[in-house]
Amino acid sequence: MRQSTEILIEMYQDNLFAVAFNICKNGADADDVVQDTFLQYHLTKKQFDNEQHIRAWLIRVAMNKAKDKMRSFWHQKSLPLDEYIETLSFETPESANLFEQVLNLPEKYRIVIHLFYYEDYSVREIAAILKVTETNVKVRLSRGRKMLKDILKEEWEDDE
Amino acid sequence: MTNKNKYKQAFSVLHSESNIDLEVLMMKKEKNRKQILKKAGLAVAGFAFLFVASNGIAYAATGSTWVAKIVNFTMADGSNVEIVEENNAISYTIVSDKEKLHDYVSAEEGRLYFVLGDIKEDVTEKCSAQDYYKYEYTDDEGMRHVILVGGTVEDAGWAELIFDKDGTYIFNQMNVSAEMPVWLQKGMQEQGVESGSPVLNDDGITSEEEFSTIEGEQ
Repeated sequence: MRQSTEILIEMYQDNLFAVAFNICKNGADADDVVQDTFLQYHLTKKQFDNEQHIRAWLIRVAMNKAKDKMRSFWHQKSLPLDEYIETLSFETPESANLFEQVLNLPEKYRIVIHLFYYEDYSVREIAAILKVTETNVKVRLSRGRKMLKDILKEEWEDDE
Repeated sequence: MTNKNKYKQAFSVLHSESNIDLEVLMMKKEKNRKQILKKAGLAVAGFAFLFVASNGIAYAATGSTWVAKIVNFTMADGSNVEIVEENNAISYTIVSDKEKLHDYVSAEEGRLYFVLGDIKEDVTEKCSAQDYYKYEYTDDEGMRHVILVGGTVEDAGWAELIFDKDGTYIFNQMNVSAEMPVWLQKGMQEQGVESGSPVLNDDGITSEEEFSTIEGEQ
């Protein structure tokens, strides 16, 4: 199946931006990644099993493009991360702190944490998206959670 | 509130600012593919050339801006590239003579050729979707140019990677149909320009595996 790119942009633009930002930590680069990802979807002739397949594909492509961006010599001119964070309107100081601490995690933990807590993917689904084993995802999730718990203390539940 | 709710609340502040226009994006992509290089950023180039007499690195001050670093060099196709680092941002200018611009790969009668100046080498057997041919030289200013040619007769491409005197990867230009074909990923990895080398990390997986890109999904 295929779905119109315009509809997908409406549905997933912010999700892909969040995934890309999680990796790039740079709003302008993340916007580039989002555009490139939708363009790739638009140009590919690939058929998908269902809407979830499309969503997972978009996330996966966005992650790959964001990682490529990080390897690239060229980056879009953008606000430094701390200044960018200051422009965001968090509901509570705890939210701002959580956001900042997640971005301080090593990338491999950050991605897994994001897919689990934001995109609501299961360990199995994350393993499929990242092409790693479920055990690997569990390890990363566990280590990421522990790091957050150590830093955030009572602001983060122990959900092991 | 659960951790999921807390996390979602925290990250819900992120919103993409781009207004995605697919037609514009497609035009840009096509433009990139054809490598239409325009004389851009002349304002930057204007003052930069005052301080850079030849290839190399220079430090300069302009009337209003501190220019931290300028690198100037010539690509294998004769294009002049200038990289300027100022105020923590990097910009670059490519000045090309369109008449002299050419691809480093040419497909003729079912064969692939690497073409550069007087060189025309049949590289058909060395190239495939996974494999590439490499040509390398060091210019008079000590810049190492690595040209990778890969793909098939139907879908060939090339990339030129530039390393400075210290061996630092500083620039590239490429003309490939896909974002990052397998041969190019492989070639770049073998030049050490991927992030990290394939050493085991603490999860027991290699960085190459971790960052691997699936063909067709990049």
